[in-house]
Amino acid sequence: MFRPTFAAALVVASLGAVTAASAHVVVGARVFPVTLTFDDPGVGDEATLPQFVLQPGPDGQLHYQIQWEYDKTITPTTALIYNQGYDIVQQTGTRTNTGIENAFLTGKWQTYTNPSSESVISLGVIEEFNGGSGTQSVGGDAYGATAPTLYAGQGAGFLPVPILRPLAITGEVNYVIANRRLNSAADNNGNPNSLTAGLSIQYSIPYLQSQVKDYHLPEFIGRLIPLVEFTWYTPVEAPANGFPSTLTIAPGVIYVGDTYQIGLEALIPGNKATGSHLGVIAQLHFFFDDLFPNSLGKPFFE
Amino acid sequence: MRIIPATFAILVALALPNAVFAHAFPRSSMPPVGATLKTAPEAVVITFTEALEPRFSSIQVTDASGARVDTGDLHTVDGDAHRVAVGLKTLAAGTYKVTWHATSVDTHKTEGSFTFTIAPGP
Repeated sequence: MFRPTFAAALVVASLGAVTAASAHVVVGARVFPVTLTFDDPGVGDEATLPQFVLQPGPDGQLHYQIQWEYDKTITPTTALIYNQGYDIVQQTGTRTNTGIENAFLTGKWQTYTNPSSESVISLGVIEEFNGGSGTQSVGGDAYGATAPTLYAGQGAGFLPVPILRPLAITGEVNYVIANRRLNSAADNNGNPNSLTAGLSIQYSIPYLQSQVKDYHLPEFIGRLIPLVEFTWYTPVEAPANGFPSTLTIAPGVIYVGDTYQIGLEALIPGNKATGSHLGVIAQLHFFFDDLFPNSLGKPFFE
Repeated sequence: MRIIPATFAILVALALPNAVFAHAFPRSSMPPVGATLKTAPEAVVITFTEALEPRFSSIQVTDASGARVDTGDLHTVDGDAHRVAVGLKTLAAGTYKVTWHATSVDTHKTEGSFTFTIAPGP
């Protein structure tokens, strides 16, 4: 069976874990867009159709991912989120492997929203399903995991320096509990429990134009949010050998339309264990609450 | 793949703008956001990206002390629900804060604020 190197597997695992769900959230005048490498801090009715990832790995490996996601609100502050993907793994000297990624289901509760302070906090639980929902030959974990998760977003509209007010940060922290704990002595193919986290620093041109100063920029530029995302993985228990900490830095830009957004980011390894090659991630995402406000885009229970 | 019909359906929906609504955000305003004016305006007009429900929307203008200086008569401009205005009392030189709450016709709520300044006369 093809088995990617530990580092590559961890990059995939960490990306997989932190891209388990995406949703945009509007808090007052602040739009926290859908970040590409980890979830943003709110709930919504929306879908990613699709997201493309190209992540070159060690030894000339190329890992292509086509991912999709559907977010459905149950109440105005709770949602269920399904996401999965299809992977193609090419490596010189071996046959190309293809297959479905493990399925993820997230239950999420937007617990705190304050439009005047541009603050939002959510709690969630991400379940990575095993039992054949994914293909192990493309890195699918055979046993899955459960991840209690904290999400947060904070706009900088309170800052005294006007030009800095379009800034915002969002973050996510997951404590990933492996369904089969690693036992090196028994070589049980399990995983250590781990921490994964995401952080984004964003600068919203729409916010600049509508809340700070109208520079009469062209509309296309006025809809851009440049940002940089950081995603990080580390095991929280011994043995750590074979499970090194990884860091990915993803600078890019998101175009926010009225009913959709398009995002494009580079994937830059942040340490040696993450790899040495540049990757890319691109996403097309639709806001169902804006597209279909009276049907698909509203909660089951209002 | 199964996602292709779904994507096609959404693209068709995108091609039907009359069927689409979204959160309302200011597209432009008069006075412009952050502007410094030589003469006092008689009204604040904000053009939103979506049509509003004026009964559930508001624009308030306050001076540096927090006192209301608008006349409270929020109304649409020329019957266009994207453009709403509120009259202003006679304003002196100073910086004013415009606070808006918007409810779009599909009931999405947004809010925000910006300032404009009236420069002292020569």
